[in-house]
Amino acid sequence: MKNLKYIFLIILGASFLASCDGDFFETTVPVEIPPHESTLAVSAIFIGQNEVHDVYVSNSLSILSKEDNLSVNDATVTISEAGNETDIPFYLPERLYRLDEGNTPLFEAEKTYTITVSHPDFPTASATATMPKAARIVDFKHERDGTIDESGYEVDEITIEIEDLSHETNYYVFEMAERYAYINGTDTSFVYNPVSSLISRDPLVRYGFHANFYEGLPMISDATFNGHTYQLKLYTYDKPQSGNQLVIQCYSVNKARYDYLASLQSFVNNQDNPFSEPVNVISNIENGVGIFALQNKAERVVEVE
Amino acid sequence: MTTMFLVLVLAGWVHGQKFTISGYIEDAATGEKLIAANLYDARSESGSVSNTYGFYSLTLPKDSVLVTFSYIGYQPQTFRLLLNKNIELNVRLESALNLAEVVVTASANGSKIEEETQMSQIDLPVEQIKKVPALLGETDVLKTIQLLPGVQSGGEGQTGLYVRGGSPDQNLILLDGVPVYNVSHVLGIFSVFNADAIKTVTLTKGGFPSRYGGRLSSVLEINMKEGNMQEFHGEGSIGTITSKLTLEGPIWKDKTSFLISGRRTYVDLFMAPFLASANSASSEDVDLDLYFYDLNAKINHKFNDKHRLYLSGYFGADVFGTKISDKADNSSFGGGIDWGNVISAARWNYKINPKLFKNTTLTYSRYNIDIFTEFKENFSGAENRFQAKYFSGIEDVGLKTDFDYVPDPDHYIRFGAAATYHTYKPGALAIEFSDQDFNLDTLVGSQNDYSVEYSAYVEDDLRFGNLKANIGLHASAFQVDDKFYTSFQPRIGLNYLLPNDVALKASFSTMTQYINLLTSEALSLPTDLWVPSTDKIKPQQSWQVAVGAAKTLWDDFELSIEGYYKEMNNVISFKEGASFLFGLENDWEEKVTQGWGESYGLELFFQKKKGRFTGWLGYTLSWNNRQFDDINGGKKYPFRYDRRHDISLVGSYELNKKVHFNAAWVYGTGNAVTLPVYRYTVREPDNFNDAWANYVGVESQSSKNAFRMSDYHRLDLSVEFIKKRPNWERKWVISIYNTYNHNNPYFIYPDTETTFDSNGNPVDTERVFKEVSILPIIPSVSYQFKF
Repeated sequence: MKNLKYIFLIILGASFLASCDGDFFETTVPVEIPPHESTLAVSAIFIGQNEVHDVYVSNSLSILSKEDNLSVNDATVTISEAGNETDIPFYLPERLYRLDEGNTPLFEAEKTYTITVSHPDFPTASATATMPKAARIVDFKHERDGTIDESGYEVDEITIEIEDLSHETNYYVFEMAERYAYINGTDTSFVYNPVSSLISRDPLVRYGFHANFYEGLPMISDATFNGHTYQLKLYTYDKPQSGNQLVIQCYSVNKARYDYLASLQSFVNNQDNPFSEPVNVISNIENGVGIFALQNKAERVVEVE
Repeated sequence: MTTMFLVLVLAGWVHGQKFTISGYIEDAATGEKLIAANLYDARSESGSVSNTYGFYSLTLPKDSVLVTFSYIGYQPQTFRLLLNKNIELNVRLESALNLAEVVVTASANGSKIEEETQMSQIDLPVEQIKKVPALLGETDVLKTIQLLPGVQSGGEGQTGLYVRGGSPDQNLILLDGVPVYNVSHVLGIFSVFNADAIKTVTLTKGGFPSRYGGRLSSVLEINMKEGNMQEFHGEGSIGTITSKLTLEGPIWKDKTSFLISGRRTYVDLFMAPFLASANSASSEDVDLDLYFYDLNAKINHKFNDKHRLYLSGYFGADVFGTKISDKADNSSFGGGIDWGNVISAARWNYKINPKLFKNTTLTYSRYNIDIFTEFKENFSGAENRFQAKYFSGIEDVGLKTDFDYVPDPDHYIRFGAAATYHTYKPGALAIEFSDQDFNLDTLVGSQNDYSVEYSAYVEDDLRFGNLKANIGLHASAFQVDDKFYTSFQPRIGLNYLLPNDVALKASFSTMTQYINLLTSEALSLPTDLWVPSTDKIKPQQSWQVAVGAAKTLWDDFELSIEGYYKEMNNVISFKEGASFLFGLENDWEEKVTQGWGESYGLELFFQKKKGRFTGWLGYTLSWNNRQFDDINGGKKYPFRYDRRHDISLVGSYELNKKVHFNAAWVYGTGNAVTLPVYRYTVREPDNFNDAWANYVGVESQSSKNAFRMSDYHRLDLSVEFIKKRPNWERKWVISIYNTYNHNNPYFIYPDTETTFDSNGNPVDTERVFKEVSILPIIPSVSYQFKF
């Protein structure tokens, strides 16, 4: 009986102590973050075949700052190549800096371009990149229920064969959309529905960020097939309709863009995982953060059976 | 003249004639061999110690000798012998009635700490392990070891050991001489070692004798009990989450003994009736597997005084699985994860002659993890079936032979050789699928890898007056594919006894490690993968130097202070942002990077060995850094478990014979963490529809591990209520983990915090960091018994 009294008292005491703290599992703690000097954050991704090119400019903030990250609207943005400088004006409706080439394409393969973003409140940011040559898509096939995923579901198989450019390291990013014709009177236009999944079991494939793809965009480097054709097998959970078309786009990108997309994907995937290794998103902007990328596009279309 | 010469030669021969006393030192009650027991001849002031199998040998000049055999917690025995021939003497020591002296001891054999050459080594008696208050009342060997200086735990409640700045894969953990690859149950909350089946626990943190090799940071040797040779006995416990039962006794008295010990959790058994009730009222049947178990078994047979055979085994697993079946359409869905070790050893002791002892061990160790998912469904009478199973692991088969040669009291020579054949199963996925018109049976993933590890060593414990030394060489080689690595690792330990009985100690050792664990710094998981060194991944190497002093104070206290510096090369880490999913990627070598590490510090160990109050204070001051070309821009950074101060205070107080109090308080500087320091937004266009461009908030991280989480501290208490009868003993143990309910940080993350006015409207939102704690105050009760 005497022992039981001990037991009772100890458990009672323990329970009392346990109830003292309302929210045991989470505590706000003071952390001294060193002062951060704000820099310009630049997102400039230019595709050779496009006529309109957008640049988004914002600025970095201390992690504990109460301010929101907003666009910087009064910066000076220029793009230059071999001494020829072009201003990129601010386009208010989109809060972007927009370059509309019209009918005179600005970006050519193998030429090197520099972007400069200046603003009196921030250090001038700049970056340089070379437009890669486009790859050639040799073959593109779609096979309905052609394979299974790792959970045993039947999925559509996509096969792409690309011809790689020799004597240089190339990086390729793939995107795919289902498209169908929209006829309005005499006008016909195409409607694109990007697929939401494009996955590969190929060990060479890495994944780059894309908001619509949980797994990310498949990307590949030609390190193991330099100068040869390469057949890439992918699968998708999307079920395109018979009669529609599938469009595959293969973007040739430089290493900075390839690493940036991979790191951004890794950052987004691990953002809420306290046990993952911390990820820093790659930047190629000097005196700032972000990405300046030049991409060249190859495209091929297949009818969905 | 000739006669005189002959007399002188004969006199010299008689004077120089030596004989050997040898035999085994055992527990009188159980026949268990006493490891590292002392024997000492007062006349020649010479002594020796018993080895892992209780064997001892002491060679002395022909004379009358007065040899005392002693072992901590036992009554010493003294023999007066006329040593005019080799004598075989098996000694049985009686356990002391009052076991207050059963304490952790930094000396290897219970003799005074200053007399030992070996430094950086701690013996942990199982009785002491059982006294330390434990989480959920579950006695845990590894968590007690975490309370020793130089040893740090990983995350809250984890069993991982970080010894002198090393990572958990750098610990060679041996159960009866067999490596154990996965030491934890329930994601690291409990260790696989059942204290009821264990006889001795010895941790070596540095100054490694040559007989050890294969890991950089520590050797944890755990020996199972052999089984009582005299009488049948048992012990067990019923705890909050597990129950245990151990039985031991003679199969053939004084010849053959057995021990069998089992432990199992029973959450699933408690839940079974509730599930059955729920299932009966539902259209679905739910089966749940949720348990872990261990089984230790050992047979010990003594053929004669020269030959003994031990067979031991460990079988343990964690089983987590569920299956949901639809009663109506006979469809089902299930999945789970199982992992566990199988470990076995066959040991043959052969006393070749009074001075030479041989032990040959055949070992087998296997760690496996299986993750599976399956479903079955019926469509119009046809069955679709899918089953996927991921499996990986490591398997070792080894043979080693060790010799102890004791030519005289000034030398104790050990030598031996070993070979281990490793099979790595880096992960494969087996998929079976079938329906009306499609069948698939395939295997995705890596093929098995194989390697062979060889080693040989020689070492001598020698003495020159007040200077004692252990000098040796460990040589090893590793064959993997076409690559053959070799390594020669010199080892030296010195002890110089000053006139005031203060021992000055120093050691130097180099180590090489050929196998690596792919794991995250933050959390060990059963899916972590063991992989070999390869052509690209070089073996890990280290060297360590330690200096220290040790002294026994007032007979009851022991004090040791050690400083150390350890450098590690080719240590392995994931590259920034790399992740590893179940080893299915063949390019794991591309995802890891190798670099450099250093660890240095000071350790203090002060303990009270005798009396009603026993315990220790351990303090570690340490620095622990890493440097990799691919991490942190190639700059040196603090390792996650770089903990500047680490304190442990452990005490047991015997109020009377019926009530004992135990307490353990730990304190550690917060873990080093990487935190985001600034943020910005980037825009990613959608190439098919620019209106869908996305804006992503990006957080940029500080330099690696530049911040600290809050300090860790915790007090655990337990009280034991003991009742003893002549053939029966029972004990109630009430434990409280984290008694003052301190929020110990497990991880930290940035968040927003909104304040509200009295009407519940948001007033302000701040960005803050929040620490998450996982283990609050946890009381538990267990009932233990012995018969």
